[in-house]
Amino acid sequence: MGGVGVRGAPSRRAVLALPAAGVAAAGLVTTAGCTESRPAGAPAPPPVDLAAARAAARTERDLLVDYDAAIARHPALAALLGGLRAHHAQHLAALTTQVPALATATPDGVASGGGPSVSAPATPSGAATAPAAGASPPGSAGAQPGADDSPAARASALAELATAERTAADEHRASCLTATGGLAPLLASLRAAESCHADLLSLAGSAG
Amino acid sequence: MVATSRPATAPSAKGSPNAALDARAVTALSALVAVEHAAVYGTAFAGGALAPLGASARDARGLATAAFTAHRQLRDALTALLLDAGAKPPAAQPAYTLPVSPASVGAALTLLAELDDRTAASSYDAVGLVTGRARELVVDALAQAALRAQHARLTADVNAGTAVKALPGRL
Repeated sequence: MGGVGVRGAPSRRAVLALPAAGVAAAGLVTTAGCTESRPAGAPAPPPVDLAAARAAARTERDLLVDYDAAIARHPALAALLGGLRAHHAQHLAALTTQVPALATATPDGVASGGGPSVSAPATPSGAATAPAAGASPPGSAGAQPGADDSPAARASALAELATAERTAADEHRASCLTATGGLAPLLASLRAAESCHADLLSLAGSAG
Repeated sequence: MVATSRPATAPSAKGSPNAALDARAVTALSALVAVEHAAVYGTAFAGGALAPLGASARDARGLATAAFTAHRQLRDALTALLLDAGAKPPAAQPAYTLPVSPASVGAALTLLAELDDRTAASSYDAVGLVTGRARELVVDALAQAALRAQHARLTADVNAGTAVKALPGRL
């Protein structure tokens, strides 16, 4: 297999070795889209890809926040959720590696200095953490912020994360279908990953 | 595999104009068809090996059967796509060397996961080279292969942390 020599993707090791913020520091950002003249093969992504990459990065950051909140409320789920959370950090890093402009510019074109916040705050304050409204089954004890770590609340948290993952998968798929050939493979892989996450979370929820 | 990667000569000779695929797309989809031929063979082989193994092999048999059906459908859909574009899809080989011999339930599950990992990788390779309906097909093929591989690993009691891949098709 693999007769098609189009694997332009960085190796896993390369992705892992480069935290998102470090990518910009490593000098991978050459023109940062400031110049209009674009020689053939220049790194500046087409607008459709830049928009898709930004949307995908936002989705990944939102998922990181969701996972952090769930892990904070349900320490017993940390082993499972921590592994999946790490994948999303990896997704964000892969997006930033592929589209370095993500790390340097906001949608307004203003340089933001820091990279995307891969390590989101561990406990987003307050109760506004429900990632998907309506996902919690009726009759469950209801997720009291920071307090309820009952099995029912855990199952509910897993179900909410699964819903968020499915939504993310759908968004990645839609973006992938309109992206150029440069970004589409990564988006397709992200879509597959979120689908697998959702499946695993549903399994864990029904088993617990 | 691909006997002749024919240059994009009059793709409308047989198919509709929408079905046009450029040479790189034909090469990538043909490579995926070749992977699917091997997967159809491998999943059928796994199913056969699991057949006499009794009740303990029931879950694995179910996965093998579902995978066989899915790989055959993907192969047929890709073949139709290539034919519509006037290209010549690669034929199946009479037999394939399997990466794992499905001598036990565990080995059969490892084989099923490996076959789907290959489908995911080959789909990943094709995604960027096709557009429209063909892209939809390979994008969904990637996700479905990743899910099947994950199911096979979980059924084999692989730790959830390693059963799930961070970037399916890419690593």
